[in-house]
Amino acid sequence: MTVLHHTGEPDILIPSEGTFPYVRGGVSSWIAQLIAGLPQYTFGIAFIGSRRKDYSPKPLFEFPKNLVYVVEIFMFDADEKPKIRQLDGDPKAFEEVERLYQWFKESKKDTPFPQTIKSLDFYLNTINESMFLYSKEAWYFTTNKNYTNASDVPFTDYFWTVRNIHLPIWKMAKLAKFIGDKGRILHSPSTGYAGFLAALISNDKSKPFILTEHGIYTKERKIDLMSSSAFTYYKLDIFKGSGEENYIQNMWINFFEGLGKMSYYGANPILSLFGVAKETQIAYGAKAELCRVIPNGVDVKKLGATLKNRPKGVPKVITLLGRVVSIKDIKTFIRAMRLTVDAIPNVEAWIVGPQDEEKAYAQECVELIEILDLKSSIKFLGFQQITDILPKSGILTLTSISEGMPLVILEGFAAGVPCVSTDVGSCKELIYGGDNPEDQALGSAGKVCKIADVNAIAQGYIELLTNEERWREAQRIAIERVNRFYTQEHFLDNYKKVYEDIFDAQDNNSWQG
Amino acid sequence: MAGIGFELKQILKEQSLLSVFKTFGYSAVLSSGPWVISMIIILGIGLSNIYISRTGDPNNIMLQASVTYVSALALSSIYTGFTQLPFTRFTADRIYENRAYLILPNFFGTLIVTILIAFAIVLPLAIFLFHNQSNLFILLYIALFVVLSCVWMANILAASLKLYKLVILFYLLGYGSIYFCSIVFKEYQVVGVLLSFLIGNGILFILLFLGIVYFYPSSSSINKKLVRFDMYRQNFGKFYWKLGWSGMLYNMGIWIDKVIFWYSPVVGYMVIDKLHASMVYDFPIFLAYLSIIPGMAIFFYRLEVDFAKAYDNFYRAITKHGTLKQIKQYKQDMIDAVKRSIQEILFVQGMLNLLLFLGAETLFEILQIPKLYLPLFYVDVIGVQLQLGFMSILAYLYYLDRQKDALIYTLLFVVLNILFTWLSIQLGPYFYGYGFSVTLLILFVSSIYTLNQILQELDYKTYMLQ
Repeated sequence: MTVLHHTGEPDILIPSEGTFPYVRGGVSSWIAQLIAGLPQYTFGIAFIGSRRKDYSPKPLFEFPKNLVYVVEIFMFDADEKPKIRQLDGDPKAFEEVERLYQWFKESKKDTPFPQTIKSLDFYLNTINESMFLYSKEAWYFTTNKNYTNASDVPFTDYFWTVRNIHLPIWKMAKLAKFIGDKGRILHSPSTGYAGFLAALISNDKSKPFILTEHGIYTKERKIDLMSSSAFTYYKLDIFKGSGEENYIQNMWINFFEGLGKMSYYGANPILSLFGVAKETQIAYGAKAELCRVIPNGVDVKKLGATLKNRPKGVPKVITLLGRVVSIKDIKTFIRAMRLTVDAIPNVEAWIVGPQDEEKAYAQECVELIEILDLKSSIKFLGFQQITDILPKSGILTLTSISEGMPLVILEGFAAGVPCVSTDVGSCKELIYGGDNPEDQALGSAGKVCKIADVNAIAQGYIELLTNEERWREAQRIAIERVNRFYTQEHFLDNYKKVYEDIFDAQDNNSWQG
Repeated sequence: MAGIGFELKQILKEQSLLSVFKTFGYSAVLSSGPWVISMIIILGIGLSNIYISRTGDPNNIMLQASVTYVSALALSSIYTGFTQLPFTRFTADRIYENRAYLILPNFFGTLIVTILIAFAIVLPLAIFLFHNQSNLFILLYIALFVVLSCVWMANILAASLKLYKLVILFYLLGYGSIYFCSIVFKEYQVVGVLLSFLIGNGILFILLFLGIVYFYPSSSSINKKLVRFDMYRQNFGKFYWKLGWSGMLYNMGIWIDKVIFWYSPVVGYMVIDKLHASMVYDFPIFLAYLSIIPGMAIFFYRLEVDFAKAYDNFYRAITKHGTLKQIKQYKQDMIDAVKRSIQEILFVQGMLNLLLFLGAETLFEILQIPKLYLPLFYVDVIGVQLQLGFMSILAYLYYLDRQKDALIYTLLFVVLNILFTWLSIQLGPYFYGYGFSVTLLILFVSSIYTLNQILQELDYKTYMLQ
């Protein structure tokens, strides 16, 4: 691990797993917004990455003044590996691991978390990284597990899965020891390894741990896994027993669910961005009384100012703001465009976002455009300023199969662009209104369709672009909704309050860890 | 979206193809196998020369020539023992990488280095050893040492082509010409016999060399050089020092007990200038070496057929999606193959020993060797058999890339052989031969234990310690 930046002591430490400052996206913008918006506090970042080469060589964000500490760890880089040596290992320690597995498996949220495994000491001394990696006892443990649970699974795949899942735990323990004294509050933007790190430090140093979950981490990992070819076996389907093929996938899923539970168990409060997410968290094991919703907000002033740049009529442009990756289901958008172009020949589609993350998928999209003969109608614009793009857009769209709370919809609203989206994450709440009856009374700022429903999505575009009156209404509702419920001030006030409460409690010694 | 899930998949994908299995498989065997075969042939011919000449010529000429030849043989094998295994390993690595086109230029390079160093060694050595001999004798000795060194290097590479029949044919041609020349040059006495050895080995080397040039790729679009020194420049990874030392020590271990006997006051005597021999010790042990040919054949067969296949299956199961059960099964197959090979060596050699024991007296009568040597012969037969066993275990150790263990055992071979041979001389004639045999008994038993340990932990080490 390397300390990248150190100009002071942070009040709030944010463990960042694969986001800020090396990856662009919703979560990193959220972190940047939070830090910039609350200059009265100092922040620290602990970046958790896989390998150095998976990320850009330089941070993608400028560090604001009140970001005073940045440390990074790349868990799978060779130099993080302890020296190879033969070890016997301690059988007793592995009994504890067995207990942890049991806890992972029991879905009852009331089962107390095994005390020994909660402590940092367990990972640094009882079973240290070398013991896990190199000891004979670890080998017996792994092979026995394989025999009892997955004797038909290719062993090399099984072995590396076990290693890769568990290895980060020890990296997190080391990191937890290294940064244990940084920050008075831990604020993790996800469960997973980042949440686990926060839980470890929180337990070890009795520090408060705030969790704000954007998507549902466990669910996102599931989607990752299902769409992954790394887990396909080289065995013909007819020879597979039922359920067998998914064993390794299930190992990952169970593991991430377990990690998620650890975060939910240690965090207070557990925040989410919208109602559905909160319900999901509770279903995955979070205590309902600790769960709250704090929605994201956008800078309505800056974006509202772009309204004057808009042309008179409704621009016949449908914009998809997002990375060209499979989870955004760009292909559905392309197919829907075919139908839309049939109805409105002069319509244009703009795809605004980086294409280098899943190059193969991006290539498939290009090919699909050629096959559907849409080359003149669909443009890839790469990375652009939204303040330039939004005034020229008639509709903002998202066809994702999974989202948290997409800021782009709110940004579009603030700039007066209605939205057609799939029913994922908080999209429905944003477009049709949330639980708040006042919000719902405002009406619809676009259209919400089922995932991958090409017809409905195309209908949504056609309706809005051909009926200017309906479009004007949707725009009015969009602007009003974002100004009333989703402003940046609102968002920052909420967090200021959360932090203040905890700092006050800490100062009065009334905070209970 | 937060998280590193996507990258994890990439890492898993890369790691599933378990990086590299360093093995130089059969080549390890080849380096020790043909070596012993050639030694047996050489010794056999040397011996028969001695006994055949016994009746006619003054015995001394043949004896002097043979002792001189054996010294060149021993010294050159110890000297090239250092480069034989590293060069074999270098070759195997290049074949593994599909860069066989580098082998021939590097063979030329290695020959050049071998010849240059051989000259540097043998020039002062020959002058030191043969202070009473003619310049022609010294010149012949130097040439013989250099040619023999080249034969060893060519031998291992030729054997790696697995053209066993051809290699044996080359040996027959080479040694046939020695026999033929020795008759032609009879009148030149010792010098004539040495010249015959030189001509015969020269022919052998040329044949092996031509075979190698014929069968290894000699042109490639990537390499334009005729001669390369990649191994010495360490262009493809470090020089395998451990292999070098263990190869050299093994050859030293083989000869050291003989040398001690040659130069011990009571049992050894001067034959020609500084070269000694030991009538008591030499005949029985060289004769005993002839007895291990069947055991060797069995060992090669088992190693090539059973063990190599199980080994292949084992790694295939690991790299190609085998289940743990399959991996464990193939590991067991490897252990079984080793067990079977050792059992069969012991059994077949045991039977042969029994026959030898029963027929030894008659055999000695036919060869006109004094029966005084019989007890020593019995001990040597056992010792040589154990040496075969030890050599087999070493071959497995090389196969499994356990260079460190091999180095320790070959070092022990030298040390124990010196110690016990010296002890046996101190204890008196009744114990002659026990030094060598006890050394190999200890080594054989303990190396089996080590090998077993290694095989039992093979899966653990393959997965956990890399």
